[in-house]
Amino acid sequence: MITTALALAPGEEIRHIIRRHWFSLAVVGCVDIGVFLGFTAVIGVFDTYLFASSVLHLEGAHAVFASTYLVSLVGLLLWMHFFAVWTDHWLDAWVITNKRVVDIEQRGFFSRQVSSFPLERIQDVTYDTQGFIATWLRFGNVRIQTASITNDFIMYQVPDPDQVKERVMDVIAKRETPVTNL
Amino acid sequence: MSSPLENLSLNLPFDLVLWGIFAAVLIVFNVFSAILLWHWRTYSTGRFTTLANMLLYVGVGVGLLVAMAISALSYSLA
Repeated sequence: MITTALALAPGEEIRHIIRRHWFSLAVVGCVDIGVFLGFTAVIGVFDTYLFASSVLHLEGAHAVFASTYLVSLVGLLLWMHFFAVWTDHWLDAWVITNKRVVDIEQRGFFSRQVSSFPLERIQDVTYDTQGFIATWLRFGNVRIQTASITNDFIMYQVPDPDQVKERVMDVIAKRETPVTNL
Repeated sequence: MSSPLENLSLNLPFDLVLWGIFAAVLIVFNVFSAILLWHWRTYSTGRFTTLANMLLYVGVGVGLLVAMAISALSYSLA
């Protein structure tokens, strides 16, 4: 849940949750499907040679069942791989609240980095879309320049980067200005 | 004269190897799934925690495990 994933300060409200575009996930999915189909084709075409070779001595029904077993095994391993990537993809997020921008970076299963900076430190927000696929599918990088000596904050491959930029600018414009004693 | 590798393969209880691999994969899948589900429940910031997505992962995974088990069983009985 978001309350566990992100410790919100009193009075802090989430305005937007932004994730990477599905394209990078689809690429992994297509590669996994391609590996599975390729492996199945190799097993289907060459099972006679593979299993009935002088090493394994499997023929007839045994070769068929061994083939099914191997294809299921590879399918299961690829399915687990895809869902691990999906989990990583989904648990990475940029959260914009009424007080700060939070970057949640999941690296594998047991490494997680959460960094944030207040909206007051944002100096400029820009975005770029590069390449045919990114233009066609409408995703790109949003760069937030901050008053910091460290690198700029970059949201990679976010969908509709122009709208993300506008949302960030809108949150900045509507943020509560701190009360100062004159 | 057969080679040592051929002798090994001729004497190898192949069905036991299949069941051994299945047992190892079953353990790995269970541990892996527990870690995945724990991450979704703990860290998810959105609707990925819905039951449908978990059922999709577990359902397909269990389906493939069942296919492995049926294949190994059929191999043993053939």
